[in-house]
Amino acid sequence: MTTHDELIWTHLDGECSPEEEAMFTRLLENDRSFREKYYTIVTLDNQLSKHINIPLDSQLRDRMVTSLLSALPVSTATTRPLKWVLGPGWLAALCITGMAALAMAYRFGDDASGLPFTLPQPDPKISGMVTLICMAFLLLTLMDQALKRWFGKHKGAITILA
Amino acid sequence: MQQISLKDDLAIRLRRGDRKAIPDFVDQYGGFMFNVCHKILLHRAEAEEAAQDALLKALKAIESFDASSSLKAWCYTIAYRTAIDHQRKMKPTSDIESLHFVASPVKTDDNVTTRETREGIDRLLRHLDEESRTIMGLFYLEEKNIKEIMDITGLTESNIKIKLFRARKELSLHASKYFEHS
Repeated sequence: MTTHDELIWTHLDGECSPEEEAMFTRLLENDRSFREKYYTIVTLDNQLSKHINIPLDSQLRDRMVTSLLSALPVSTATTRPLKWVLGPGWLAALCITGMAALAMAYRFGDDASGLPFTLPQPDPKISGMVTLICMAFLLLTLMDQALKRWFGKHKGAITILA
Repeated sequence: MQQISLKDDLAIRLRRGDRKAIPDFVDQYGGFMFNVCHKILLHRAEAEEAAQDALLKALKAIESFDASSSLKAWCYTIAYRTAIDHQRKMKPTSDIESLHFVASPVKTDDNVTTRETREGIDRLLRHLDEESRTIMGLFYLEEKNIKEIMDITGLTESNIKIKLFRARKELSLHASKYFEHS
């Protein structure tokens, strides 16, 4: 059984069935107390629609922004100096330079013909290890960047290692 | 779809500690959080304070925000809890609120009428409990979109409709008195 209040609110929300709509029209035309209730509720609904939500004025908005900016420590830009020193770009450059140096050492090691100086012939074990470490760092750097790009939340493999 | 990517982008920027994201965050969610606080506290100055507090809490806890969920719902929960905390600490200050209204520098007739109506609605809303007031506020803030309220509050459609109906019934009981006075 739908009450008059319920019927009026349902009508205002545009959710009346055809039968309810017909009943609403009949009551509005013939029932004085229903009509009075309807006008009260319509006024209430209009007032609520217009005024229940208070727009954020510019002064309050500025106060909010200022208080948030001042409350946040500048270091929220998270450990930037460490990231800069051990940043992925730097590590990648270091690895590439290391591998290039090893390649040169292999190519020109103990051979004075091509260069104005003599490079020592690298020990295969040491050079193998250096290559592995360089490759691992390069891989980590790539993973770090990919994870950051895709998930955002991830702190990055290099950051975790550091 | 674009809305979702914007939301994600904002959350990511805040997580990275991008200070330029703060004005965007306030523009998108400041008003919403202020209104949630205001519906609970029904006191402008207290609501402003609570909203600022809630925004700060949200910003500090942004690392714990689950990117797969709604940022708005998350902000709502923080604003709601913060306002309830403020309410516990609040003293009954209805007189101070009316003084605040009188002392306001806004002079134009339109603004005075708007403020008087708003104050009248606040008086009317005092007849409801906090939860009903918040649901009513969300209902009109989200332009009567029940689905949006479901996403924000996590309540079911029928639950929202029942609460809404009870609240409206209660309000319409007092509304005639209010309209006679105004």
